[in-house]
Amino acid sequence: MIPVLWRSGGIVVQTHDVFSLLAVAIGLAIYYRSLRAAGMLEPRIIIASSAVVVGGVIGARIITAWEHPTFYADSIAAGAPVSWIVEHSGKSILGALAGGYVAGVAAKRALRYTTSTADHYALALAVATAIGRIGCYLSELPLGTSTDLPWGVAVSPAVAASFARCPGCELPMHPSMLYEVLFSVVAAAAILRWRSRVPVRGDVLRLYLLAACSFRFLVEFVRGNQVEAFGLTGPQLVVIPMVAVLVAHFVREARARTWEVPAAPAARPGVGPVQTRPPSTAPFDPSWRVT
Amino acid sequence: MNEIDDYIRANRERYTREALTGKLRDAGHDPADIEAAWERVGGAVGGEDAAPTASGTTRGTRGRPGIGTFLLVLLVFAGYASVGYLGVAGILFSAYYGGGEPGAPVGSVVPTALVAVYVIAMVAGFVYAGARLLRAPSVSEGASAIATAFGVSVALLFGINGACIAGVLAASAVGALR
Repeated sequence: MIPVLWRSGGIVVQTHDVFSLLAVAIGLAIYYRSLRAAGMLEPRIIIASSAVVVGGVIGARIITAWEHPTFYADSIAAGAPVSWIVEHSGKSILGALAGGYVAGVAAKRALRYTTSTADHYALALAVATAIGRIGCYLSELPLGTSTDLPWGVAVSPAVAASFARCPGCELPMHPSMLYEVLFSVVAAAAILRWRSRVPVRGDVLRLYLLAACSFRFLVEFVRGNQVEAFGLTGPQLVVIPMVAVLVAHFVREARARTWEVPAAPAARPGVGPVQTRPPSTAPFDPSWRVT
Repeated sequence: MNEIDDYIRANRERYTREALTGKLRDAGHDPADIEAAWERVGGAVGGEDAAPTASGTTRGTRGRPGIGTFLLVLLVFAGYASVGYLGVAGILFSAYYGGGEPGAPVGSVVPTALVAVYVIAMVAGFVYAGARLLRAPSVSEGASAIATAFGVSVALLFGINGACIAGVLAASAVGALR
């Protein structure tokens, strides 16, 4: 555990903060690079993506605010600076996704930008999540529920005692954050390999979110978060409607056969170089489609 | 080439460039013709203000903002971010101390709703201000228009915060924040 990366005098650099900033910076770099490669990088994108970052930061805080009102009350009563209270309040990646999505949609609508850039976020989100979760693994306890599996991770009693709440920290724990890192790496590889096979704009991101939310639902069973209702944790209760909405979207698309790209008008005889084009040079393989 | 252009225009909002290009190639069109059609149609430029020019390429009809506009947008962004950050904390602070004895828990629905309204207003304000700035000509072309656009964003910033502060004070006065 390395909760503090650097400390000098009154300056403390938290590991989690460093990895969070690194994740946002690298995520934005991947997003901009992807847009530039597609010839879509322009000023309105900069504004919209700034709104996404702000919405994500705010959403990450708001979604957890209801969980610990006593933290705010106790911190204010203790005379803690407001900035410290906001900085150390809870945050959730699910709130960040929801806040970022709402802000992005609002920004694009205000800027009258109608083309979907959602797919360009997919790889950026997967990579950024992997980086951010490494920060979580290095700085948060508990890592997960207790386990006797060989890869269970134990921490020393001194480290466990330095955390306000650490149920099960005396035993080896599931490294649940590393499970998410592994998932994100696999997701990033899958996006790179197969994104060109998804014909509908925005569906690469939706597929990623569906997979990420489903995985998060499962990993919560070994995460060690507090059970809120129906035997489920807070994040599980949040992802259920998100998964339902995404599943409904894909069911609707399947019924409407949206993934069947409309046939293009045939080339007039003598115009197209049909006979001279080697089939293997086509960058897009349409063979996956149901026709 | 109009049929390729029409096909791309009709489908580019829903389908990816790769998917449409693949269909056109399947139909026997020359890849060079397809690429040329994408250039003409402006598949890389999204939005309603993408329009073909006389030279056949596309650009925003409002023109490209200059570096001065970008700096102003960044300034507005920093302003909204910092004021928004302090505003959320301020609402929570007011919710704790307003309308009664300090120490009451802050977990009521009203402060949460106030924060949500405040955040939505801040994001909307920033988006509007940014859009307004980007629609203005560059600094070199019209400093007064830029100044007006920037002034609108500042007025919005104060307006949103003023409305929120008034709301929090009014809610505190009736004890709704306890």
